[in-house]
Amino acid sequence: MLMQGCLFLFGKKKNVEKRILEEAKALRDLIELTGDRQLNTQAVREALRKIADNVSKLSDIERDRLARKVDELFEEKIAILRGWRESNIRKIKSMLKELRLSKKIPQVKFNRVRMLDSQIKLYDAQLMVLENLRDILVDTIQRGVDPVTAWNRVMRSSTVVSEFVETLAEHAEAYEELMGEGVSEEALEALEEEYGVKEPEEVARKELKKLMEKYGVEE
Amino acid sequence: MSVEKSYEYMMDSLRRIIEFVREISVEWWWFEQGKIPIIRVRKLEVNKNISFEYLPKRPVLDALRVIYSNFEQIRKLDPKIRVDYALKTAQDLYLVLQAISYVIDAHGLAEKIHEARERIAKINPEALDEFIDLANSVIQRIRELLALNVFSWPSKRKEIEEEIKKVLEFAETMPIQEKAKEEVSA
Repeated sequence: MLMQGCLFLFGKKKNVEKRILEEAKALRDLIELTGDRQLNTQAVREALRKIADNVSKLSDIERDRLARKVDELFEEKIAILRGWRESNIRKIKSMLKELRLSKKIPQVKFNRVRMLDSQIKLYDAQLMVLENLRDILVDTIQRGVDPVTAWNRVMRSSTVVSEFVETLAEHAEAYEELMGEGVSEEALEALEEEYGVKEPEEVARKELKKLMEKYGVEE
Repeated sequence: MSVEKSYEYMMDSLRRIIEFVREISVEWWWFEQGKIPIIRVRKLEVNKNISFEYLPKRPVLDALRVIYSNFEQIRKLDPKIRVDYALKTAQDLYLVLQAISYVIDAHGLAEKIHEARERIAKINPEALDEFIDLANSVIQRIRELLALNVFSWPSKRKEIEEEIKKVLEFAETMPIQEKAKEEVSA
């Protein structure tokens, strides 16, 4: 009888863990924004609240184990996004180098560079939200939460997600604008400095000073 | 090692090569990030009949993907004829890898031009247009040479190196412009 009760309880807890993991995965994938998935702050809030409710039924050891699994779940996605971001950074650097040897910047290439820049900024926003959500989730699961703290964390994450939605909207606008824009030398220069293809004015000046000293040119 | 394991090992190595080339080719700023078609490979298609025809010239990364697909297709063939196609595909792979090594070599030279451009921009921005004309003519020549016949690179390399030397000399002998000196003083 006791044995059966233990098995029943054990099975129930396993189900809770499984459910929390599924909810965490769904939450993680909401940020992915692929296909027809859309980011919905209400859904994020709901999912976080459910997780906070469920986690209170688990023991310390179970919570710790679950927190590690959630951490891995998010880390997997974060690593992929970081890889894509790095790859786009290498691509934009290469294209900026190419444009630095052009007298007249081709509109198509300029647009491509701006698109890559938008994509990189989008990855930055996605990474920021994923990292924040992961921290909130891991914290919630590991330590267990009382309803007030849980709610505060939900509010905190909602703010992060809202900021992300705003960033997305800004990028969508920027994307439409840049398609109609001509080539802007200033915008290009800013990008060259941002991605380290061109040295910022101050660094270039110091470098020049060194060269002048090296070749004995008087100031 | 079993046949199956050897095959998996080879395919895994090919995937690694493709990933490596994908990563480095992004940095070939002077070569459309590796998108310029330079090499012909044969594509194996196994349907009712077997076809193994040369494709038009394609970028190195695409060529590697064709080779990968050929090795996948080869498994479907009768072991008696498999070896012949495998050998021919391996020959193509060898040529593609050779072509990649030439592009990597050319990239090293092109990078020198980029460094010289940055120097000119610092010390004498007014000479930049003249430098860009000079540099572009060499870059264009490397691009055309590789696109026309990538395997001619070893015989033409010396010539290209000489041209690049001239470009670098132009940058090195450029006097520091008064305006640049003033900016440093400020």
